[in-house]
Amino acid sequence: MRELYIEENTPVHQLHPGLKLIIFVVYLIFLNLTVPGDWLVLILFFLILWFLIIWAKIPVSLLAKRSLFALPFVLAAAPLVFQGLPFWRISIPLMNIRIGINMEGTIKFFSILIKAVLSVQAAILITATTRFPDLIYGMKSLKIPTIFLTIFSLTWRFLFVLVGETQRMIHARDSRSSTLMLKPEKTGGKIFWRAKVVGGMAGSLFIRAFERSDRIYQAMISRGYDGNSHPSIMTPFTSGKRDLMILVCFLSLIIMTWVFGVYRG
Amino acid sequence: MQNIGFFSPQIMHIPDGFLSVVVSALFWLTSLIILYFAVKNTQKRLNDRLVPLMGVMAAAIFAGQMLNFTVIGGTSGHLLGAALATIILGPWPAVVVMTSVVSIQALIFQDGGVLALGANLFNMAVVGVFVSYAVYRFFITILKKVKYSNAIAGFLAAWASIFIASLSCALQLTLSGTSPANIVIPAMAGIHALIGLGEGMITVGAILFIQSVRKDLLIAETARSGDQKVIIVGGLIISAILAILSPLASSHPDGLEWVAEKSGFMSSAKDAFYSIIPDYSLPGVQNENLATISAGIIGLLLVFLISFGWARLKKPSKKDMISEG
Repeated sequence: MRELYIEENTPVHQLHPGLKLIIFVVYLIFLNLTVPGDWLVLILFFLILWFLIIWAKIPVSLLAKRSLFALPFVLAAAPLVFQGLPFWRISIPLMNIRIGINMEGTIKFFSILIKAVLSVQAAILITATTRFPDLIYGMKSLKIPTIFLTIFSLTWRFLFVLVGETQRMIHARDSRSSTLMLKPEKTGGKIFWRAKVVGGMAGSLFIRAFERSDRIYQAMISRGYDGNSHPSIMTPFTSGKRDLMILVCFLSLIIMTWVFGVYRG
Repeated sequence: MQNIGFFSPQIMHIPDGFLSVVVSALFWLTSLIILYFAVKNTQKRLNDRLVPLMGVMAAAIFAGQMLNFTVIGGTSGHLLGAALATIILGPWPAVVVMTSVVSIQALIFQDGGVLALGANLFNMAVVGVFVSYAVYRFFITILKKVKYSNAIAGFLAAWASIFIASLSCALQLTLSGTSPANIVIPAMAGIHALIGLGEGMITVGAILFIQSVRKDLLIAETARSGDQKVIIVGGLIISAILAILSPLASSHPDGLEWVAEKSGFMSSAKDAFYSIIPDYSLPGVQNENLATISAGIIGLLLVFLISFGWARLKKPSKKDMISEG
C-alpha cells in the first residue's frame, strides 16, 4: 500500500491545504449541479481541472489508471439508457430482441459518467499534491472538530502497522492452506471451513488491535496525554497573497462556469 | 507488497457524480447529526481512552477488509466489519470507528466520493451499525437458552447490516434519479444478499474465535453499556422503513412516486424530485409485473457477470502478488 502523494514543488503543492479543500469542495458542488447534457459547461469544468493537474505535474497515466476505479459503479446508471420511451430501436436479428435506446436517458448517463470521472480526478489531484498530515492541518484550519482529526490521524498512523499484520496473516494462511499458486481456484477445505479460518483471522486481528490500543493508551498517558490533543509541531502554512489570488481566481472561474451554464440553459 | 483489497471497488461506496447535490446534502446533514451524538456518547463512556481505542480499531477494520476467502471460482467473500465492530465495541463507538474508516477511504483512496461521503457514512456507519445492533440484541434475547446464541445472532446481524445498507444505497440512487427503482433495488438487494452471507460467515468465525480466546471482550461490552434502546428502536425503524419501502418502490409501476403519493411524504418536493424519474418499463414486455421482475433478473445477471469477469481479470495480479511476497 502506498500513499498517492507525489513529491513536486509546484504552486499547487504549496497552496494552503485548507484553501485547496475549499476549492475542491466548491468544484465538486458546482460540477454536480450542472444540468445533464450541457456538454460545453462540462468541457469547461474539465479544462479547469486539467489546468491544475498539468500545473501540478501529475502523471497522466496515474490519473487514467486511478479513474478506472470509479467505473464499475457506472453500471448503476446504465439502465437510464434503456428506460422510458425509446428514441432508437436496435433489434438483434437472431434472438428476436428489441432494445429501445432512450435519448434523454443516454444524455443523462454520459453526463453522470463524465461527472464521476472528473470528481475522481479532482480527488486524486488533491491527494497527490497534499500529504496526509497537511490534509489534517487543512481540515483543522477549516474548523472541523479536533476529535475527528485526532482519530483520523491515529487511524492513518496505525493503518500501515495493521495492514502489515494482516498481510503476514494472509501469507501465513496461503502458505499453509488456502490456495495453490498454480490453481488458484483449488482451495483447501470446505467453504465453511474457509470462512471459519478467515473469521478466526479477523477475530485475532481485532483482539490484537484491541490489546495494542491498550498499550498505546498507556504509552500516551505516561507521556502526559490528558484527553485533549495538543497542537503538534508542523510546518505552518501561511496563506499569502498568492494563495489568496489562486483561491479567488479558481472560485470565480468555477462559479462563473456554472452561471454561464444556467444562462445558456 | 502491493495493495490487495484497497482498490477493489466495492459496490457500496458511491462515488461522486451519482447522487444529486440535494440528496448528498440531506444525507450529510443526517449523518453529521447522528455522528455528533455518537461522539458525545462515546466520549462520556471512554473518556480519554476514546482516541487511541477508536483510532486503532478503525485501522483494524480497514486492514480487516483485506481479508477474503474464495467462494466459488473467482468470487470471494469479504469482510466489511460494521457488525463485528458493533458486537465488540458497542453501537456508538462502532459508529465513530466506521466513520473514520469510510472517511479515510474517501479522502485518501478515492473509494467513494467526498460529496457522497454523507450518504456513504449513512449507509455504512449509521444503517450498518444500527441495524446490526438491533438484530443482534433481538436474537440474543430470544435465543437466550440456545447454545451458540451469539454466533447465530452475529450471523443474522452481519447479513442484515449488509442487506439493509444496500437497500439504503439503492434508494439514494433512485432518489437522485440515477437509477430506476425497479432495476437498482432488486439488483443491489440480490447481490448484497449474497455478499451478506460471506460477511455473516466471517463474523461468526470471528465471534467464535473471540469467545474461546477472550470471552471477556464479548461480555464486557453489554455489561458496560446495557441495552442502548435508542439504537435498537432506531435500527428496527430503519430496517422496517427500508424493507417496506424498497419492494413497494421497485414493484409498483410508479415506484417511489407512488409511495410518496400514498404516504404524503415530501409532497412539496415532489415536482423537483420525481420529474427526473420518468415512468419506466422494459421494452417489449407488456405486463408491468413481468417487466419489473425481468428487469430485476437482467440487472442481477449483469452485475453477476461483470463481477465474475472482473474477478477473472484480476487473477493474474493475484499470482504476481504471491510471487512478490
